[in-house]
Amino acid sequence: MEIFLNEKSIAVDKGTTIFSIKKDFKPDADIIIHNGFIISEDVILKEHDRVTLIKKGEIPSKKELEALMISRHTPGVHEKIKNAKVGIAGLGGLGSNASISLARIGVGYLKLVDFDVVEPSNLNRQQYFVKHLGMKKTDAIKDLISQINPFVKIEAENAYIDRNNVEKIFSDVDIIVEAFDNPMSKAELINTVLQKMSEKTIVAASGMAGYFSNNTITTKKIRENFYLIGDGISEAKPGCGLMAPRVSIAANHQANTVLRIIMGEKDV
Amino acid sequence: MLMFNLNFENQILQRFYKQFKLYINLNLFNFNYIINERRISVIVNGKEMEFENITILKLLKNLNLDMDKVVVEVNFEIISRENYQNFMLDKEDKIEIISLVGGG
Repeated sequence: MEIFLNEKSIAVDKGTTIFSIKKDFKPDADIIIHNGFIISEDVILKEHDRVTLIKKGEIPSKKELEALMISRHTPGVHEKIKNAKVGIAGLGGLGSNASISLARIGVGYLKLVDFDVVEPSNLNRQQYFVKHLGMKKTDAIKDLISQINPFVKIEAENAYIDRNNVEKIFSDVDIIVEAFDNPMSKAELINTVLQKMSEKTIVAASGMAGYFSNNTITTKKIRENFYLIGDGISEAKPGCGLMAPRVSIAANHQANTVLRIIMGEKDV
Repeated sequence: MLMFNLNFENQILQRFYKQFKLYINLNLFNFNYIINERRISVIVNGKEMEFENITILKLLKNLNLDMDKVVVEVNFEIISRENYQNFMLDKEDKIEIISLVGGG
């Protein structure tokens, strides 16, 4: 019968176990992944099972790396994620966090848009490093994602998004993540997408400043193609700044909402 | 003959009475209509509210909301910002206002 070892098809006898495969192909492997899940006990293989053997500390070739990364993605889920096209409007606290999560799960295509450069006050919540200071956020995020998952196709555009260019910028994506800081830009983007681009879904966020309870940040489905994340009230203002934990909670609500939409789970 | 005349008179009276009733009813109806038109009840974010001749823009002002930071849905239809000023709300309209706060 056929199984996949490190994403390559091989033929094995019925009744073959994973441990015997390990012994034959990579006896020094210390991580065994069976259909996306790390196992420690032996399993009898079934037709079309996927097995990945990893030796810790070993630096794989780029081709091998892709196979090893895919091993942690659940089969059947990964194909859908790889075909998804997602746009991120704004690469600050929400956008940098959401795009990194989406890159880690292997979203095939990301359109990343921002007009600004990385500056010191971004580092309290945005995913950038000291070495990125002064760089365009679009270049900095490309650098980060290339270090995390080089197999994602990224198109980064240095632009200020408004009602006049949003249709053109996001013409080739299916889902748009609203990740702006400015509430007027948030409203303008949401209104434009809902009125002029109703075939696309928008995942927006409002209210994630401060260190209020985790549990007030929720995901609401406002209409068929509009999801809103946040507590709805905690505005960034003097005395109530944006901080990494709640901003990344909201950003990852957005990323998981995108993932659920990709997988056909339309309810919250 | 007398009977006939009485009947005739009754018929005239009856007709007159019917017309008078219709007139009163119609005017009561108009009167009610005028009162009802002035005050309408709409549902804003799930809450019933009463207003007199109100546009979306006035509603936003009433609720102390900035028209540049909202998304407005009337009966599940998104309304353009340019139309907030002219869009008159009608009785039993269902309005959803999503207001956005800064931060991201």
